[in-house]
Amino acid sequence: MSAPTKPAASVAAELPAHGYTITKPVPGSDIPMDLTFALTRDEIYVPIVVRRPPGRGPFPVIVMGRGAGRGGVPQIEKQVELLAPMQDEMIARGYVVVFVNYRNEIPHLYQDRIRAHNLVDDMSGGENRTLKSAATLDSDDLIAILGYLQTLAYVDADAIGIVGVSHSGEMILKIAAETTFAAGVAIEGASHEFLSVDTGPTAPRAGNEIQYQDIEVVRQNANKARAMERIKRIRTPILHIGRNADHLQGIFRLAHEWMQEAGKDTTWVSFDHPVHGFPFIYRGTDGTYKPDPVQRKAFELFMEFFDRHLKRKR
Amino acid sequence: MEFDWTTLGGKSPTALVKARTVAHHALQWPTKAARANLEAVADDSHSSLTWEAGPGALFSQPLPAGDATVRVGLRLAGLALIVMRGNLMLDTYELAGRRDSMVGVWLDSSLRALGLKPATPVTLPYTIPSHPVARGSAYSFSGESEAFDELVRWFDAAAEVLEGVRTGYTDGRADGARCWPHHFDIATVVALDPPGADTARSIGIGMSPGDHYYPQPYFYVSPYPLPKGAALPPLALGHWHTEGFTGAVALAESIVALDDRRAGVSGFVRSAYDAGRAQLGFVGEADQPQ
Repeated sequence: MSAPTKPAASVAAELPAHGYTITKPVPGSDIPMDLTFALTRDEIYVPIVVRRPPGRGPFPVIVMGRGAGRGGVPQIEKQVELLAPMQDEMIARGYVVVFVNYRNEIPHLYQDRIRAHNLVDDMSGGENRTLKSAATLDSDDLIAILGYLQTLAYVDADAIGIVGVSHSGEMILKIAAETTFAAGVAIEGASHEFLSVDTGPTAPRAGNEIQYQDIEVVRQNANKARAMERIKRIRTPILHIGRNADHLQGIFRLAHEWMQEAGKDTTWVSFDHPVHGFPFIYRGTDGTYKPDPVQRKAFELFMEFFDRHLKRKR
Repeated sequence: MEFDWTTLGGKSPTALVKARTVAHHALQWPTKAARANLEAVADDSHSSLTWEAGPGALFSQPLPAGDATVRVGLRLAGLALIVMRGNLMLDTYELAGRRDSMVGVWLDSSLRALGLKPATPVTLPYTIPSHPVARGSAYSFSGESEAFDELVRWFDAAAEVLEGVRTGYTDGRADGARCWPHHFDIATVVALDPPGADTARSIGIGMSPGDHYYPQPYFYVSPYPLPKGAALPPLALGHWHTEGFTGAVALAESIVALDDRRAGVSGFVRSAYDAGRAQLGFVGEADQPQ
């Protein structure tokens, strides 16, 4: 008679991507929103808003993000209400439009973290706990959102693009180094972590504002070897949109130059505009939608970029 | 590397009009960049472009950008703008599907990033044949890739011929070949008189990829100033053109019909050049002017 065998220690399986949706009206628009809670890598849910053209699709998708994750559901509901006229234009051009939120940003954690994976549960004796090797980052949420969108029947899974402002622009580069999507537009992408640019106490500052307008100053304060190791993994075409007077313009530009040096598909444009994130066209305080000429040009430019990369694939 | 003249005619010379016209419009971007950033000179050569066979592109004159020089070019195959810093290709921008308003944003952004002035404020001192691109349409040239390739070959052929003129026509002084964005022709001028002479007799030798005179490429040899009523001798290849300009012209369709195209074009240029010299008052290959 043989001795009873102990159950082998196991690794929890990754849950398949999924989400839960509540459909709601969007003030000032005939196109409603699907407020959706999408599964993240650590098995909680992040709120996103999905809006789409009539019909069964499959449609190309533009994912929109702004800044760092914050504010939960009220934040994205407000953003969608203010951006609805712009989104309606995108939907009229045949795109599903998604506005995303993420967990809060943790400065510097990206630099030394190896992407999380599930660990062996060798303690509980068979409970099969889901254990992670590392914390999940906001950029992991964006990857999870892409995974969820690819499960939707009306989505063309090979035609998903992302446009992000500031920290969301950097996240496009971060996830482009981890996964592949059809196209990315980094608007004033604050890619200091991605490029390993020094933002510590000795970095140039005016008050509390870091000063990386000059690309040569950025170059001197960046870890090129580390940045290039990330850049070389990118397979997604990226359009970088800068803002001539922005205090981080040198960072925006250097991301493009090093991608170019690495032989990546990268395009650079820059505009004069007083407002950070100006290509995202918000309703005015009186509720009207009045893009100025520079905003209109920037919008047309990045939409043409998406048309080129998302619609040709269909 | 010598140009292979047998490759000419892969696309009919008269089937290049659409590609040539849209390329002519696109070519105005590099020259605008030059006009914005170079001091104007009397002969307008600051706005001219130089052919480079490797990329198959026409490049602006070097623009001073700090310690380096920048050149803006138009690659004919696939029609794309190129920004070079020294020998490093910094940026390319394919024009297919894009409107000039977008192209301007892109080029201005590239120039500003290099410390240069933007190109879009420049107003050109001439007009070129109309094209929908100039009225806001997107660049559209599907099905024209063979035509662009053929245009590249004609520019390669011209570059070889004009380099032969520069190095071989020692009875005058010829500069390197330049492409002139107003007419899109590539040419050199052989100056026959000493610098500072009262008269300035010269012979222009070049290749036009086609224009309102001829809807196909042609080589030309144009003496200046040609006396009124000058007797124009018959040519073994081509004919004398007298409307708008006076010069010997050899059309592409005549050239591709030749068994030895290189020898045929060289012979045409030489004989028309000699005829032009005679009309300008020179006798004999190395004689001084009469």
